[in-house]
Amino acid sequence: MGTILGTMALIRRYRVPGMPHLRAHVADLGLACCAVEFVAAVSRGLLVPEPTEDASAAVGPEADQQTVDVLIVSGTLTHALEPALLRVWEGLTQPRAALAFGACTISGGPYWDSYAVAPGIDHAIPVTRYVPGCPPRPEALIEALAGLAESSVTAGKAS
Amino acid sequence: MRNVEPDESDQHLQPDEQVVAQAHETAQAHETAQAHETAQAHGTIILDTPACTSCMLCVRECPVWCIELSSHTEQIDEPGSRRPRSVAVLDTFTIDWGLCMFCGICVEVCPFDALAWSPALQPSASAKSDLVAGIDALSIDR
Ligand code: SF4
Ligand code: SF4
Ligand code: SF4
Repeated sequence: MGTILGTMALIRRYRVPGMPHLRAHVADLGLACCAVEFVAAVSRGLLVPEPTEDASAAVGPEADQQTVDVLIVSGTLTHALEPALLRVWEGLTQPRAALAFGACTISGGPYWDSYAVAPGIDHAIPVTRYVPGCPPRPEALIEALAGLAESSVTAGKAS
Repeated sequence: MRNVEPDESDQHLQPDEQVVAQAHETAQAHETAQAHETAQAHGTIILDTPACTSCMLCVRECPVWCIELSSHTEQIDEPGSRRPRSVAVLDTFTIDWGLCMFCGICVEVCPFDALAWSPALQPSASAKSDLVAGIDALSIDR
């Protein structure tokens, strides 16, 4: 299972309308209830799936340098999945930023006391923005991406 | 939302006035329901500090233990009363939005209606500690 999750196959890429320099990577890791809000965000057009072919070619290397790769993690991260998440994070090009979407990814959420659940994804990777909620509303995702876009513009780049 | 006006391709149709009126009514009812839903949205929870008696019920009923409070007791000696009354005075009250399930049990359980839902979106933060809201943040009328 670890090897399957270690590949980038479970990453889906999205563009954010109105925020051209963000490219959202959605990791289907530890998939749990929060993922339902992604479906809601996508069905409302808040996120647009990126065409798989020629995406980087169309954007070009220069534009790509300004693009911030945002890893959005939702759902419950178990200790067993931590290495897989780390591998996905390390596979992203810089500048990159991780967004913790939902109580589980921030603190373990309802499972904060569980022996098997990580007390937040920042246990495994550095997190730039935390989105509260169980699950957060789709609007919260856009609010967080906007906050991230702003900070990445002011900071010049993300970590 | 559904477009109830006939578009150009429909213009050869003679719209039945009753049907159109009904459609308008349905659309309006839908809009009202949506506005109602937005106003009722469980965005975040606010605290009416003077109403809180520091009874600890919300703290103990919260399934994830994300509410913390501290208080002290004061003696109130009112003229004419036989002996002083003891009242609890709230000092600190925090909700950790990074843990909260937004389940509303605290709102339901509060006997003094000191906690209430607000439709405002609880914003994201760049540090976990910024998600811990104290009396000032919770008292904002949103
Ligand atoms: S934060 Fe809540 S809704 Fe999201 S995955 Fe955890 S338990 Fe499910
Ligand atoms: S909404 Fe639920 S989880 Fe959040 S503070 Fe209230 S009781 Fe606790
Ligand atoms: S249940 Fe209500 S009155 Fe009691 S401590 Fe909580 S907020 Fe205050």
